[in-house]
Amino acid sequence: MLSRWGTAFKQINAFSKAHGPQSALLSLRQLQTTRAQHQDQSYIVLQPQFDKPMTKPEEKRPNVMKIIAREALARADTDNRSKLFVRRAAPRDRMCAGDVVFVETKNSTSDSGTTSFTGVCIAIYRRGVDTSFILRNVVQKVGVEMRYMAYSPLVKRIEILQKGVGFRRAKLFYLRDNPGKTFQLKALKKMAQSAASTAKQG
Amino acid sequence: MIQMKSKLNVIDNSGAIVAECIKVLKNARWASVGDEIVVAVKKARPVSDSTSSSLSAAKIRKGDVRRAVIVRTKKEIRRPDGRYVRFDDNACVLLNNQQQPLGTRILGLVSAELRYKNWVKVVSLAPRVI
Repeated sequence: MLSRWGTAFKQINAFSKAHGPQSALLSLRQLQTTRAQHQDQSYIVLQPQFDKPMTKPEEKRPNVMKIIAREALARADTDNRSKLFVRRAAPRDRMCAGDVVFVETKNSTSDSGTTSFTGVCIAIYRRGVDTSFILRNVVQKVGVEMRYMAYSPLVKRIEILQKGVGFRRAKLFYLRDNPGKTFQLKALKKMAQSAASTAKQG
Repeated sequence: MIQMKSKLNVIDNSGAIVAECIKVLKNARWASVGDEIVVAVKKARPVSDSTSSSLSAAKIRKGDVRRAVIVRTKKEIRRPDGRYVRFDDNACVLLNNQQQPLGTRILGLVSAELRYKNWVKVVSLAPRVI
């Protein structure tokens, strides 16, 4: 597979030298479609394909890798969960450290069974498609932390049950030693149960 | 990441409270959830002679060397879909020579990795599996 990418880059470089950098993106697109039609070998063509590269108007010389990252995010963002991780969104729309979050995960791509977990978000790692967050909860007197990849196709639903109030840090790892009253709310358990029951119905 | 000298909480009703790992039973330095280890019991509940004759469960005393399976680790465990699970402590369940749990109950939650490593009895006894 690495050699295939090698030849692709060589072809793109040759093409871009002949025709200019903007057309390098179009050549990749053409390569993907033409190679898919080749009958001797099979290639994976990512769907959906975008007609125009996702450049921003202020980018005069767009970077191919940035555009590929944007496209990957657009493909993975099936139910608009990227709105939870936008830094500039209003605090009530985006996920912040300290929120009580409910995540429903599919057990496998074929199985319809789901697992759910509720917890306080103690960390968010914003890395484009590899965005992940850690939820912490105390289950049966044992602290459990689960780190979810936000754009994994197995993650069915992410919901903010309650916004956190009074958390002034981006990473709340201090809650491991000094939880205070964060995990003592009985309302938290009730919210988790109601969210889990709606998940099973829905 | 349990290795020699790691202390684990014992979460079954065998009588042991704290066990120390003395051997990892696979060709590796560290053991994780679902791996078998040999432990020495460091702290145990006092065994009184009057109750011991009536109970069918084995008597575990301080200093006993037993096998155990790790059920919770503080080191995060990676699941195939990219999820990570982390518990606040290291915990194990004591086993007998036939790889069956010694105790009759498990007190506390265990990791779901045990299911994939075929510790069916442990998973069925556990009150909560995450």
